[in-house]
Amino acid sequence: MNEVPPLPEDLAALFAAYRECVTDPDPSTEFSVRLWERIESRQTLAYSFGRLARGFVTAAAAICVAISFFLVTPYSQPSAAYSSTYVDILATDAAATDDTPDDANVLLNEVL
Amino acid sequence: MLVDFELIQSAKAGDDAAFNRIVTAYRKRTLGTIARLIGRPEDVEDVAQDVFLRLYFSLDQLRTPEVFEPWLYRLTVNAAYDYLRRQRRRHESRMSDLSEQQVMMADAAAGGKADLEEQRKTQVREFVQGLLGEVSEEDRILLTLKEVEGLSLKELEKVYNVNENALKVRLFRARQRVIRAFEAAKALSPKTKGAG
Repeated sequence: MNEVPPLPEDLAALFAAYRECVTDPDPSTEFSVRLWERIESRQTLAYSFGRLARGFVTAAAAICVAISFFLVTPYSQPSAAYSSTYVDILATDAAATDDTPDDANVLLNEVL
Repeated sequence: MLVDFELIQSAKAGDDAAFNRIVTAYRKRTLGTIARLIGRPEDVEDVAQDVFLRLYFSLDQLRTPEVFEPWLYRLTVNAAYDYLRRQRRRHESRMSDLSEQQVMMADAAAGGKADLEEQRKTQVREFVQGLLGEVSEEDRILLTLKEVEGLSLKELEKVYNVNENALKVRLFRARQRVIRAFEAAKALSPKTKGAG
């Protein structure tokens, strides 16, 4: 874009007059005191919030570690069902029952 | 620059005494800019303190001391913008301010002790603030920085962090809107005076 068209003269003069009318005010005597109070207040708030946040993170991390520990720790008495293979269980079942079909017996003998 | 680069570096490193000296150097100018941006003298110091509060907690983001002044202007613009948005949401009536002005002027006229220069300044102030109130907060701030504060396009580029063409488009549109508002105000009040 080329140069921006200027304001009309009367409006530009009005803004110039406004600049003269609204001069830079002097700060109050308490300006810096109140500013530092606000800075310190915000620092205290930030510090407290930071501590609270760190506490939550630490607690969450501890809970995660505990859950992980319980998940990876093996059971002291493993289930009997998982100590045998599938074929062993079928063989045990077949021996226990009388009406096992001949075909099933032949299959089992072949596998074993 | 009103302060040395070394002072800014010290403040950036956490030297509170250095930061205090920066505040002392820039507070009057910042108060003036805010006074012309928001138009409410009673709130100027609060907004200015907001600016320096933000400056204190964002100094570590300042890349180099050379961009300190545009950075400070940017914080000033943001604080003024937040203030103007809050004021617009509150829909505060300024009837009490107007009536107070009217009372002052009536007293002055009746008492025969009217300070004509003060009256003129008040009229100019009220008129321009009313005019700027007719445009958006973004336009108001841009126009104040360009037309009242006198910042150049290059300086405004650093404040707004946009390229020159984008800034020219924004400025062009803002000027068009304020010109329309000005023409409308003149049409309603033919006796309204400008700078005289």
